[in-house]
Amino acid sequence: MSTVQISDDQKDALQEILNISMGQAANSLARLISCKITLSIPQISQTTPHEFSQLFEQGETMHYTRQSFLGDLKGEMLCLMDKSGCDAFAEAMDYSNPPSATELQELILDVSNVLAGACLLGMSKQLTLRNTLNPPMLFDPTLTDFSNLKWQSALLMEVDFVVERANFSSRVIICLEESSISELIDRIDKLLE
Amino acid sequence: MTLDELFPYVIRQLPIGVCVVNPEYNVVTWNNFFAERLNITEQEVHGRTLADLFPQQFAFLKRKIDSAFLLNHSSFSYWEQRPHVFQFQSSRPITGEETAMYQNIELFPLSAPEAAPEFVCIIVHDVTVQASYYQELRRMAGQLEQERDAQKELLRKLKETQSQLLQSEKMASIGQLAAGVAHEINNPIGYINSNIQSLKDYMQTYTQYNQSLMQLIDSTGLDKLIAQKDLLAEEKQINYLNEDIWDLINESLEGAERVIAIVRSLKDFSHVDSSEWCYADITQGIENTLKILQHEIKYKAIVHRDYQPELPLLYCQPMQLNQVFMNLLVNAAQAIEDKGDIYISVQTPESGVLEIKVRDTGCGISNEIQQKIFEPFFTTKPVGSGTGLGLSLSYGIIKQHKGDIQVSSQPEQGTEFCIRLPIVDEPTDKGM
Repeated sequence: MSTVQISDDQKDALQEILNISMGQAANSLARLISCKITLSIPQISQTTPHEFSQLFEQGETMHYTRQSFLGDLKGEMLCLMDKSGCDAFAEAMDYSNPPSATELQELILDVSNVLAGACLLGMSKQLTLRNTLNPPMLFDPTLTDFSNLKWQSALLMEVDFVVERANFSSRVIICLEESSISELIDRIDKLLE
Repeated sequence: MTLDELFPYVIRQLPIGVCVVNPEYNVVTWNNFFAERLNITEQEVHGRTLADLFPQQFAFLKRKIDSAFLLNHSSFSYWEQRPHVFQFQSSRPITGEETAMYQNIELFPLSAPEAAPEFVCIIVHDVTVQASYYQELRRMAGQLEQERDAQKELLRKLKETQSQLLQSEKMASIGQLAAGVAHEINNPIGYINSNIQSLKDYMQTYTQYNQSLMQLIDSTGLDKLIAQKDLLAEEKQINYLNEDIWDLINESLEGAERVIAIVRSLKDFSHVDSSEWCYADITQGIENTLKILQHEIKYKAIVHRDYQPELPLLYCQPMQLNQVFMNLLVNAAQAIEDKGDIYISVQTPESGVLEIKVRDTGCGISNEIQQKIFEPFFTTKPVGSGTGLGLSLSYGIIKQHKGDIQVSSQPEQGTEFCIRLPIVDEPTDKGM
């Protein structure tokens, strides 16, 4: 199966779109927790399963969630959260301090849902695509056999959110499955026309 | 019926909870799932606030609803973190073990296309079955893990026992060999000893007879005969023989006795006859052991004894206990590098208990090692010098006496072993 390649122009356009939608995501989160949020420039890359598995090399120092989405685009959102920043963040989110284990899980799921939802829906809206997000789930990469993934190539769009006041950082990655890449490129081409 | 007319019926009948609220947290409507459980109909609930309906959960619901309105997309709650947001009874009141319903909740904004959300819809999934199944699974996994750990531990003990057994078999066969050799030597040395003894008696008689004979010859007054006799005696060095013969016999007897003693100690070593239970004086055993160890101890340590007077006799296996004292005293002596003291005390601190303490002023034992000293084959001595069985055997012997042995030690200060033995009166309680 030949992989769909994404051109530099398409990449630039996608990056611009992501910039806007990620900005909206940051804005949403900022309103929810009344904290200033900074974000990185979105990174877009095509990846192989092996490269993908390297995302999880930080292992135990991070919390991970995953959230699948369906519709015009199919794929999964991944959220990587630095464990050390989560306690301070919990305080900003009105949880008891320090949060209990289940409170922390709830917080992680909440935050990733907010970020992933805003990112994906913002992007979909600009590209006039329709998508529904399924509930986020906690994800333990140590229990996953990355050598056994069934795909050859995926598109990753990642951005880092940082809540400076709470010393909290999170990386959101939109992972698009191969069959959706051409759909995405189609829409970008229409915008570029 | 049109589709628009049909939908409200479907929604009412859905097996999931549906509740629509406005931004003021007032319920707009809900379906039968809510109505039946709370006994408030769709019509009655219209306009009532969540704060009023669910006062305890309101703060949580408010946060979730705010988030859905604000971000214009779904927010979720799971049974793992919040099992019972709505206080509904279990869907299995008769057959189920759980009393409250486990719920997954989704809140999503409702809006016309391209408009800000006007309502939030709360969907409640009853996941009691999955939740209790999952919990049961987890409980079983935990149990399995425990059992696996227990098995591991058992296996470890089995291996340990096996090697202990192997070693004790080895010791037993060495013991048997020693006993066999001892037995084989015992017979010949027995008759050698008694024969020499008889020979000595005979020789005494014979010398007396010889002396009488000489005197008889002397008393005849026949000078020629007497001269001949003296010549013969001189020629055969009889005077010298008469002296040397006794040395030879006595030395042989001594040698035979030494061989007998060695055979006896070989038998003792092999523990043949040594496991007999009888009443014994513990201090006597300690003294005997000290005598045996004299050469090992006397250049290194001064032994201080503190025996309580009029100690009761202990019903025990004296030879086995001597083995224990031997181990403790040898260790104590070896712990002392240059010169030191060994304190031995035997007391009855309470009635029915005999307490034996052996304390040295040696190098002491570190904490980590203290935990291992009673393990078989554990030794700090160089390879070949210690079997690592001494304290393990001692521990076994003390346990056989239903007693207890404990160690307390400070590195560089010394070590104290404390043995507590119950004073058992009833000979019927042999234990083994």
